[in-house]
Amino acid sequence: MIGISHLSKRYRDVIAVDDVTLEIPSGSVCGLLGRNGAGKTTTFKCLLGFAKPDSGEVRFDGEPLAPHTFIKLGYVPERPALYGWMTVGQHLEVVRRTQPGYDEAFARELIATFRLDEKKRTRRLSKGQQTAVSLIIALATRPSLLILDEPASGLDPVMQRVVLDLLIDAATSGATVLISSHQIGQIDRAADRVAIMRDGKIVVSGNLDDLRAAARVVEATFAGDVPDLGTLGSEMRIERVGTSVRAHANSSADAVAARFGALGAVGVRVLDRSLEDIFLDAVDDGGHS
Amino acid sequence: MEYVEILRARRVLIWYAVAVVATAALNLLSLRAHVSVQSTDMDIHGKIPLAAILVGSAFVAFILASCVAPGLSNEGNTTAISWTRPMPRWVIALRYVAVDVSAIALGYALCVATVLGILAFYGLGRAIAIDSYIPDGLALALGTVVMWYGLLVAASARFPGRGGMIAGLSWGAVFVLAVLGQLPLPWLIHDLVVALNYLNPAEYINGAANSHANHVVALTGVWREIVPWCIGIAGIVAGIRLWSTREA
Repeated sequence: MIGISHLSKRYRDVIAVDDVTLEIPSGSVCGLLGRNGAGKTTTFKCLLGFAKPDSGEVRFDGEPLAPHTFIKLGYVPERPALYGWMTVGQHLEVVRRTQPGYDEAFARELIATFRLDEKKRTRRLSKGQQTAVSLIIALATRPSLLILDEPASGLDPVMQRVVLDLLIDAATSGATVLISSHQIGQIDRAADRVAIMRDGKIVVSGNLDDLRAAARVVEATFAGDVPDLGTLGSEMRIERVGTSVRAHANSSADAVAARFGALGAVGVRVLDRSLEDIFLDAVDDGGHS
Repeated sequence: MEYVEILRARRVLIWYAVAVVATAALNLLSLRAHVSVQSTDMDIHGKIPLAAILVGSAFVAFILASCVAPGLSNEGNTTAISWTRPMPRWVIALRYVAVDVSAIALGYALCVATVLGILAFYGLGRAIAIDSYIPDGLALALGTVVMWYGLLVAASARFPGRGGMIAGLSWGAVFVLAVLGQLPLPWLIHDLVVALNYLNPAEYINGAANSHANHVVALTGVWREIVPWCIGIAGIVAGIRLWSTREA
């Protein structure tokens, strides 16, 4: 379990992380979403002790971060951080020498999966292959806590699928996975929970299915021009396309559908929103989340 | 984690050994003609103090120290690996320092052995004077190398990836400070230069080697040997502390 409580981090005048509280239970994959500069990477840095938070605390399985936490914690950084002059095999040797839980057979299996050459220097690898090495370093110890910052960056679609499957497998085995990505489809596929950050704050968080159910859209089609919608425009986000209107009604979907019916709509549909809709709504400064 | 630094130091040592051997070979070629004419004179009148060889070899060890000292600074781009090992960061840093110091000691010994080998090759072994200054010379030589290494570690600890540049600039700073120390500058600037020269390891060696020189570092006897060690160890401790507590 990863617990973040009232975490804040400021760089001079900029509040990078603002009172973030988040709990990720064991066996869960949590997707951390947000626009560039929303505070995701700084949150990760605070989690890992790379940056000192100004306030708040972080707990892994109920304990604060300590050197021995890294026996069970794997981390994949946003950009591959490898020794360019060392070979893939030498990187794994570093892990073997420092991590008691290093699983040699699993590491070799991953090398074969990602089609890497152990004798190749990492500076000669493509970005995707370097990301794969970072993933192997993190996964080779079969950690029970995984923190991944854009883990599929640079990987081809087949390898992205492999990575997501590995994360889902890890969570199925009881691991706690916190993953950030700009590719919402990846999060949609792998995560069962999401947290969305905007300006350093968590603006939406929870179980993905619950969020989808609570965030609904009412789509209405009119025979002619869209009539005056009254106060609806100020109550929620409205999108107009020709003679159709989409209202981001969330929990009031049924009432909004009835109002569209009363306004003369010829067709009214209530739709579950996609994670992308939820994300765009949450990070839109003028939106309603 | 020190495995990374072992690999790094090994690479440096290989290049260092190649450079030392190549320099020795060039010296042998150039000495061949020179010694064949004057070897009789050197055998009869000349004495080569071993202490001077030990102290002079420190300058070569400075080069090696400059190459390995940025090791911690070079970890700036790879903290995702080095700072996620299950051990305190200061332990990682201490192990890096242990590897570096071992590599420097090995390189220093190689340099001394090469010089002695060249002298022995030309039958000048008997000209080497083994006297009571050897322990002092060794203490001073190793002390200044540790001082150089410690200052570089401390100076580069908070500048990820800039250690190589800092080590390079330090060579310039050392020579500029040494020259400024001999110039008739206004008293305030002169005092500042003199104070800075106490952090210049070359000045400790320079003063010991040349008893007639105008000593900028006004330390004599055992203090000239102890102070470099103290500054070096303080630099290493500060460097470890600065590296361990910095933010990524």
